[in-house]
Amino acid sequence: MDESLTQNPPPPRPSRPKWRRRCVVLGALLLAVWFFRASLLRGLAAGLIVDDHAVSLRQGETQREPADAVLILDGDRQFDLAAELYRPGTTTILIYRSRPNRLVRLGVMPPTDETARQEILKRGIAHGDLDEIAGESLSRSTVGAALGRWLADHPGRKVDVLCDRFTSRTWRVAFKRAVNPSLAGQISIVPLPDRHFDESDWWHSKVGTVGFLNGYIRLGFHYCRPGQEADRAERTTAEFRAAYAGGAGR
Amino acid sequence: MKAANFLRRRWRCLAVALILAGGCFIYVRHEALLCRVGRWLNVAGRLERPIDAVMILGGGASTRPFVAIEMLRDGLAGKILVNSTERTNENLDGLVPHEQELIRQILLRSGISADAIVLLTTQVGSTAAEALVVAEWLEEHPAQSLAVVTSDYHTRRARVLINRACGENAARLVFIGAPTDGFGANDWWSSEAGLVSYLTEYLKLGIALVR
Repeated sequence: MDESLTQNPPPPRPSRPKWRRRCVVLGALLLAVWFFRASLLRGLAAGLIVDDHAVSLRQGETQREPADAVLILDGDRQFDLAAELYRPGTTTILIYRSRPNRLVRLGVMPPTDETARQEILKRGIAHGDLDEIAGESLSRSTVGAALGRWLADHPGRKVDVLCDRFTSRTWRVAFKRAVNPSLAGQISIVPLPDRHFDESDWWHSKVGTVGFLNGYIRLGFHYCRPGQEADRAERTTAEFRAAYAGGAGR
Repeated sequence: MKAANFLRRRWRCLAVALILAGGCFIYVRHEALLCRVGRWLNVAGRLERPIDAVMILGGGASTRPFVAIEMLRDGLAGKILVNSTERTNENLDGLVPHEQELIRQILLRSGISADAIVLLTTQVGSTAAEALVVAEWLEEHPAQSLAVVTSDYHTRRARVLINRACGENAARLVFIGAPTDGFGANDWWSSEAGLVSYLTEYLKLGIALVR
């Protein structure tokens, strides 16, 4: 009689525990993340940036047509770039003016629009090429609404908006909401990198990391909360006194 | 085998039900929860008696100095110490004055005597660095008490770092929370500035606790 027929089949080998396989996969994933960390971090930061100039150059334009106006919002060395984009007699430099805050009223800080005006004139821009748009507050929706009004008053004119690199997408979202869709196409975002960091190295410095995190929080806020942001009400002397008497906060 | 599967399914159902119930609870009570989250950061005390000096921590120049000014006007503090913060891009370009100079101007314009203003020389770029300045000041002034004025949502982290740096001298400290323009613990999530301030504060607090 064949011996193999009488023998019991071998017991099934216990399958490798699931958790071990999962650990291997997780380890490989972490290794890949570590290996490609620079590209991943750069890609994450790119999500915060809108650069209409770079897009038009990628689309085959060799040199971009200068805009009719340049709006200075924020960003490092914004006045230097505004002066670079300026063409005498054809470019209007727009400055945003809002209600003066406590420090301006106290006389310890010049109004931001006045500082901008001084800096622009210092760079050789003609006084006649300056224009002002105004709003009640510094909230993005208010700035967007003011820009929308200017565009409506100046049909067909294109505006370059100079802003901080890591808040450029947030500005785009705010403009889309605040500006009439038929006019929104006349706005180009020009994001300005900080002198200490940009999307390729933000994680090397504290200021870059803070800028990145704040950028995503701001963007998230504007994505999730459509509509007008409430104006920032100033605190009163009574509220300052209540701070040490133990009753501060709203 | 069947019994084990049945039990596992039941646990899964229970977990899903708990998550859904938690989600509903958060949705219904989110304002109250967010208020609690905001208030938790504020550990400011009240000033029970006059104090020798008040130190204004860096940042928040539009509100923090005004609390210190009112304390001096009420006769609750003898002098104001102003930290020297690191220079920003705007300072370097001459667009806005350095924060220490800005605060000095605020104090002078508000009628505080120049003799009552002490400009500290150590340059600080973080709350941890400011904690060392506080510790040094308490060491050099062993009989004096100090109020630390900062934004209300920053008081918990400031207390953690400063108490750690000061050791036993921390008993001579009181933390005062200045309110912020436009948002507070009860509505921080409804403004961009509030959301940025509170969320990053939690992150920084986590780092301060771990270090």
